[in-house]
Amino acid sequence: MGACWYIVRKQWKNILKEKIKRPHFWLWVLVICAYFALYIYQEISHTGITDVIDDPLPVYKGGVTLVFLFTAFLGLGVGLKRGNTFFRPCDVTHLFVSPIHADKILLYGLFRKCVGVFLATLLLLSQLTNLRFYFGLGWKQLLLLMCAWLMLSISLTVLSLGVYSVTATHPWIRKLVLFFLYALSSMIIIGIVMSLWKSGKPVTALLSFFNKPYLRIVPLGGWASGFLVCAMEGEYYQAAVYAGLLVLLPLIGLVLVYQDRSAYYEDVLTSIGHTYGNVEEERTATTADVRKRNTKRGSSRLVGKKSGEVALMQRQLTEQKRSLILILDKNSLGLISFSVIVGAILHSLMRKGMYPVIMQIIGLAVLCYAMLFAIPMGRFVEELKKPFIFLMPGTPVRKLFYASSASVAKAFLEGLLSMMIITFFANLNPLFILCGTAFYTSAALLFCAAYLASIRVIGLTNSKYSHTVLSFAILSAVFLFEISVGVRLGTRLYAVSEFMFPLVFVVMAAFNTLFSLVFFYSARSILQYRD
Amino acid sequence: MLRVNKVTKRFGKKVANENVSLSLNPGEIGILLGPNGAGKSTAIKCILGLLRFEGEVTIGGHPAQSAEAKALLGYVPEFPCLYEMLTVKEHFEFIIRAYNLNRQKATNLVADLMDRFRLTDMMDTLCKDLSKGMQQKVSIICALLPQPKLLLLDEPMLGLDPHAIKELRLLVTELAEEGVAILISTHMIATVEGIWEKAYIMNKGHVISCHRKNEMVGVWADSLERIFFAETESYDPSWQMHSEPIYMEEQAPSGKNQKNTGNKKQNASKAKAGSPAQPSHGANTPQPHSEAHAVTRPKTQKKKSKKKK
Repeated sequence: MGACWYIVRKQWKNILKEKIKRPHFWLWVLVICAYFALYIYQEISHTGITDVIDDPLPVYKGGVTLVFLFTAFLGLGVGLKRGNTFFRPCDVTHLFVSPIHADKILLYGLFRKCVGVFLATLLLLSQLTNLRFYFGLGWKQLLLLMCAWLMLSISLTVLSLGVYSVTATHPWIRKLVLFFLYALSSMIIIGIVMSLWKSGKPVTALLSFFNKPYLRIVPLGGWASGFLVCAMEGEYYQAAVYAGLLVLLPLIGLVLVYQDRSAYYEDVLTSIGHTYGNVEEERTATTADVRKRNTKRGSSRLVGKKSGEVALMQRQLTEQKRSLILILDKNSLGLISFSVIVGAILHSLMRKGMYPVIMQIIGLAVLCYAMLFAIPMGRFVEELKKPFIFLMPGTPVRKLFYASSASVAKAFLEGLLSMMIITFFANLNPLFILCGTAFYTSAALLFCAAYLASIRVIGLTNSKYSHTVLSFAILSAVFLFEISVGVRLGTRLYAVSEFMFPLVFVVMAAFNTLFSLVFFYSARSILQYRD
Repeated sequence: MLRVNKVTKRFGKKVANENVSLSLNPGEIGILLGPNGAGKSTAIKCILGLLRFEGEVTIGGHPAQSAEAKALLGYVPEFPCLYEMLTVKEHFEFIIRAYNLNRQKATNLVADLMDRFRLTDMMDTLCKDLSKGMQQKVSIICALLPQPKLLLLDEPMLGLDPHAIKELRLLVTELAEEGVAILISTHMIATVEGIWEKAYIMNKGHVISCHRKNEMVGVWADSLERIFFAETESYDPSWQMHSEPIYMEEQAPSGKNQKNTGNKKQNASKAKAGSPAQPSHGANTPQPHSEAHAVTRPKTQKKKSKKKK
């Protein structure tokens, strides 16, 4: 085990040594220190004390259940499908071939994964004061929250690897577990939509849904919430049962992994990168097999149809079509599901007497910001790391434009479907579908352009989070400007006719496109040198 | 030292290795030759115990996945995979701890190997800052540090400079003299020419033949490349693999074999170039069936003629 800890210790030390050389690391340290200084000051001087919200406990319990369920589904789903955060290829070539015992390597992988849990816990710790001031929670309740969170996150980590490893020998079991997860999450979404549909108060409806006791039977997320709620209500026997379940299930997973140790390495190999297994498969498969499979997946008949920079878009669309459904990916499906919830909320608000115009603005704004998480910027960044885009003839602006336009095409399709859903649910003006889609698509283009601008500013080697944050800021600045223009124009159009109002989105889409072109133009120099 | 007995590895429906058998004695340098996708790397990973397989692999008498077997193993991967945020020195320190090595001996060995691979100045460099060739050199040193009894090298020459290739070839010979069994998987025949003792030729997941250098005679003795092309270019999947090693006995290709290739023109041109079309095999060796070539070629010609029309 000493060798494994040595790797962890030295890597952290070296990472820290590298980081402290960079100025933006110190900026982050400064921000975090300032935050915690303020946090401690608030605690000591009681300056942050606010009025406790009305009837805080149902809000708190419902909110916690929602967060726990979301974390459980997301963590387990990602862990089951990829599990690639447990080990890396260098672990395979160094640890797996060494005489270190398999159990110790497993422990090392789990420990590495738990670092993420530690960071998330830090985030939760920073919110304890707010929870205390807004919900009037005592230290005992906060302690219970921390316990529930830690139990949930560690159980999730262990169970993801356990189930992944155990089901590696029988892939159908994994598919079954995933199907169960999807079915359960779909049922919860349907439940949310039904509650919103019936009630005229969306927040109350959501809270009452997440406070329903039957949600506590949902594995992991529900159990963690059950433990917390029961312990808060003084039902210690039930709380102990939920805690026991939370501990027992991952333990069973671990026992099964140990029993099937012979299969352990390949499980991990497969889990590394989905990549390792697939690469191996690709490598051993004959070219004819690969060709046959690709043909079977459907040729878009786009590649080679046109010449010039358009080829960049066509190639990406072809790739997208081969691996995804109708160029939509799982994020798009998530976004479309989200639009069902937004539609139900809008329906509920409309019943309360909200105006359709405001509904259109809210619906579009929420979807546009949600879209930022669904855009596959990774593919676009990959394109910039390959030499093809640098070497092919053509103007840089056009090359950048076409390289990003596959994401925009995807956004168009998902925007169209989402707007149709929202229009149907909230009974909006049908013109909103077209105008909203135009704005949504242009927002995707603007985000790509803003991402490019961020690459232009901080370079390609920075983390994707830095790029996302910066492009998010650029996008928000443009949106603010557009809101000021849109409000004036919208008021005039609304005065003419309520039916005409959605046209304001088309005007704003034109603004988005214009700004995007400016960003594309300013970022053209990134194609001059390959970093 | 190494016994691989009828190992079969499947990835879903795809059979990557089928009934692969090979063996190496202490001090023997074996090479695993084959075109891309022949199943060499998969076979190596099975030996390493990284993949599940059907069959049996023993290293020094221990099952491949046991800690005892792993203590006898050294492995150089196809692509260097080092911890980016560890320095070269820290990698060696990790190996010393993982294999529980004598620190003094290991330090001396590191110094010697670093010198031979001209990496002495790089001890405190983070591996992310090393070039691919340098990373490969560090990988090689990491594999040699535990002084393994069996060394598995998967395409070890990729990315190495000529000096390092020369040094590695020399090192391999020295290790073999010290009794280390070495298995090199490669498709770059020229890099192993002259150092090999036993060659296993793989194609489409099968070991199609095994040759010992000291038993090779005539035109076959001087060129591994010649054997490789003769065997892989006329390979037919229906050709059963051999559970027992097959050794070359004669030098001249038989007339029957030439007929079986179904492509007289090709054989004639090979003969002109001084390269026999087909190696002869032992008495137990099933003859290759080359109808596949004979059937497929006219088809492709027909397609081409259709296109022309």
